[in-house]
Amino acid sequence: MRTIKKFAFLTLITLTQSSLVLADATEGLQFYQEELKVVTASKKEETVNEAPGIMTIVTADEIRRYGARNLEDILERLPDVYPLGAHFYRDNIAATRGDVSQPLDLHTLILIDGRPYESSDSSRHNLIYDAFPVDSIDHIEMIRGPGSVLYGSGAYTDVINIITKVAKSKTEFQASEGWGSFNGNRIAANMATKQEDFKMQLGAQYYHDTGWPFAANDEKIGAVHPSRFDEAPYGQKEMGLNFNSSYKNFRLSGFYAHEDDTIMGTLPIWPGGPARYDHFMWNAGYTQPLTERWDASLDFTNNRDYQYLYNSNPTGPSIAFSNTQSFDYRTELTVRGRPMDDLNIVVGGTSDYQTGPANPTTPQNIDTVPSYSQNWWTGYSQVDYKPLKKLKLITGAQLDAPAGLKSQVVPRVGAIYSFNDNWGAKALYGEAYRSPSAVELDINNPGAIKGNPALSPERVSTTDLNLFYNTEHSQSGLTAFYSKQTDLIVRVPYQGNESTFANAAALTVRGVELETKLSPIKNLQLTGSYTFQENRDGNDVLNTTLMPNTMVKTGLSYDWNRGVTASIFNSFYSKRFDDVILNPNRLAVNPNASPYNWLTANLALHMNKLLNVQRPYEVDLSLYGINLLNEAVYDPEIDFKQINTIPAEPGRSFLATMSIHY
Amino acid sequence: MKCAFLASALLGLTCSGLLAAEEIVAVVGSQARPYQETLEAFQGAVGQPVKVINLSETSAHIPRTTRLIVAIGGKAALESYPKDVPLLYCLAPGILVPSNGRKAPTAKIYMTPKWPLVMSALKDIQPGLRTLGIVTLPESQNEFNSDLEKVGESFKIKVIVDKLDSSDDLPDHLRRLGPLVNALWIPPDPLVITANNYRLIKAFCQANHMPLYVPTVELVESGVVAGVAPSFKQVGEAAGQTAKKMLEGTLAYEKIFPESAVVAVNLPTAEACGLRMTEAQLKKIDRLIP
Repeated sequence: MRTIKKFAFLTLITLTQSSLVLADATEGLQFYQEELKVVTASKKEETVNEAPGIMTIVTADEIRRYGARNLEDILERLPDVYPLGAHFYRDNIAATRGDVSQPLDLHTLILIDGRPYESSDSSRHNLIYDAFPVDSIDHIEMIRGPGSVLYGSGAYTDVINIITKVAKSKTEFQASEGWGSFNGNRIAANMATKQEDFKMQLGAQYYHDTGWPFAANDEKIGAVHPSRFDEAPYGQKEMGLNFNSSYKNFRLSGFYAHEDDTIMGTLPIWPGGPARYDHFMWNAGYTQPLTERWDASLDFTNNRDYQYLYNSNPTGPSIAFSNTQSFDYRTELTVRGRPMDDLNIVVGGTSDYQTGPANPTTPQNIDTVPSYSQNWWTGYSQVDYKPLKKLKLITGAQLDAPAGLKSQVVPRVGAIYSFNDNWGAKALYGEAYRSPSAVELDINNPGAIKGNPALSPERVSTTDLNLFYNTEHSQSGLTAFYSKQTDLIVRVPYQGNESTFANAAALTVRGVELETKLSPIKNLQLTGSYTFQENRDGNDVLNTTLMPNTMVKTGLSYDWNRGVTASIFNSFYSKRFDDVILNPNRLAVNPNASPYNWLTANLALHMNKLLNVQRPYEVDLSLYGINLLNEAVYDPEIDFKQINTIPAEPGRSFLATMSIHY
Repeated sequence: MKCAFLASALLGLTCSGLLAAEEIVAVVGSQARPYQETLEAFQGAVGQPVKVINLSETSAHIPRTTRLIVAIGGKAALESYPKDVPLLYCLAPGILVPSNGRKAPTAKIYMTPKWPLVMSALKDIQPGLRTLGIVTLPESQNEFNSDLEKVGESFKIKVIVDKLDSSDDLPDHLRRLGPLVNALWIPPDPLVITANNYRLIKAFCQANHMPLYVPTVELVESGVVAGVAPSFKQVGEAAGQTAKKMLEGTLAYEKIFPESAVVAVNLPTAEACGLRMTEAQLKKIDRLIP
């Protein structure tokens, strides 16, 4: 009996001790897990939870996993984004929340490291979408909703901020070459270096292919030009260079891109012809701490944009080219402060000077956009305050004073509440504007289109309600939004066959967005979004932007420790609407814009790991497959709306790449 | 007159009491035991009243009369504090608060003791230790002295610091590092000591009968050979001593590596790695498991 008692006692002691021991060990590990959250969170400038917008972040790791030839491939995977182009600007639009009003990316503001990439003669984004060196990207922040309070004109439906890499170690170098379908050849290189206070990153990307077969029926213009079928190899050649550098408080960055494309023409009328685009952007900035809680930044940004494109000439045999240029200069002063622990203030102002020396070298001297120069000023302020630990309130406004146009104010208010470490909600209201471009104000293409100097800025007001749930292994959000656009600039009939621009439309868009990123087990990443939108114009006509109501995007990526990464991503798009909604007389000469699945896959082999060899350099091989289901993709012809659709994307294609990293 | 004098005296005493009460403000990340144990030891060592702010309950509002802020835990260290008030922070592995933007001194109590102390203890536990491997990550704020290789030499221990590109590379690096070293030490870095990494390193060491040393004695029970590290209490005491120097204005260093540490050994794991400890060796151990 005594032995049993002793045994029981010893067992109890042992169990108690072992449970205490395990509790201690678990506590030790828990301590590090708790601190890990802090370390990881501290690396973010502003957490997704606290951003006054609906933000999605794409990391360099996700880009590496899923593969990308260019920025368009990356944006295509973002929630509620539909990428499309037109008959003369290919790969030009990232239509967000179903918002497209012209064949230009007018309602998306692109920033490179927070500085605007813009062209005042139009809002072409095809160069940056096609030619930006993707290996230079550290991450991309996409904020859906108005951003004009801080970013001014054009931050209308969304803002895409491309954050480039910063040198972390002494010198890193990466180079790759790829070969693919349509005689495609892609060469890319990236270099980063750090020497004490000096940091620099330089990236380059070149892509060339002989083109996919673009085959379609074109427009009919009375008896002069009947609709006819033709085909052209849609070849392209693009080159992009990006650099950023900093020395102490001074920073200098730049981006240059060049693109040669084949296009259908400035009208969707055969025969096709060449187009050439160039863009150079640079920024110099300096940040000066003022007091312990205040600092000021001064930035000077210059965008220089050139285009030289084939101008359709249906009434005669001669080929005409139009050549336009725009030089935009922005000076911006921003003061940031934290007068109290829970109060942040941003105050700033910009001075913009924009000029376009028209088309000095056009052979036929077609005065597409006459010389122009315009300047305007803005002043802005945004304040956020935490009256309670879990509640953040945001308010702000921008005053926009363009020369010769009426001044206006756009406001923003919002509240972000964190229920606990995981759950939270946002209620945001914001307004934004887009000033008319030089094309809309001044274009003069006799017989086709004429500008309207009396245009006012377009305006939008958006309400977002967002519920988010974030854990160590997942980020999820559910958003409902409602946008009301007024004074939309649209093309309207003018004289004869000519059209012009007018503030003649209104639009309401409402929708829901559900998005999630999960990592249920180590090495496995799942990402997905379901979005729905519907829009109505001022006459209560449904789906007038023609964009798909529903998008479902899903990705799965697995990283084997042995050196293999396999990823697959599918985007389902419901039908794009027929432009018969807007033009009952349009010709249904091409296939419908039917629903489709855009399936891509990327297999990456990390050879050093696979072969278990250690070298001062690492070699990777990858095979990237695009449109693996070989879908025939057509999009509505959103410009003149005389024919129902045009081809939008090539069929199945591949790109095999070898890269080396030092 | 008397009344006025008494009132003034009372007011003066009250004010001075209030001022004293707010001279030191300790900000703690949460109620979890490591932070509370450190706080209690700090309060005991500093020997004067400390106003405590718990971030799990309230925001870090620092009174104007504060002469020293003591942040316990990474979350507390990263709060925004008045830059003209000295800041001492501890129990914040992986966090380095930049001192150049601050007007007043900033000091950190590290979770690693001075290297000679660690090397000496490891040599006592494993006399045959010749090469010690350390795995770390590029983005880590390493919590070990820069002269560790030199210190290792004086103990005839070669130190190999193996920097991973990311945690995904850990298995490959362990395989490569394994034949080159005869023990591994993990730095107190939350980016390195994740649940997955820790499980992997432990499994690797157990499979290869390689001694594994950890930077927190609370982890020794989980099946590693030993830990040489200040306890949470010792970190709190070191913070207390440093706080006194900061208040006196005599602090000479921004990086403080505690001078005392607990040596904990897990005997069954040590034996599984072929380490048979003599009586003389065992006498130097502060905590034996079981």
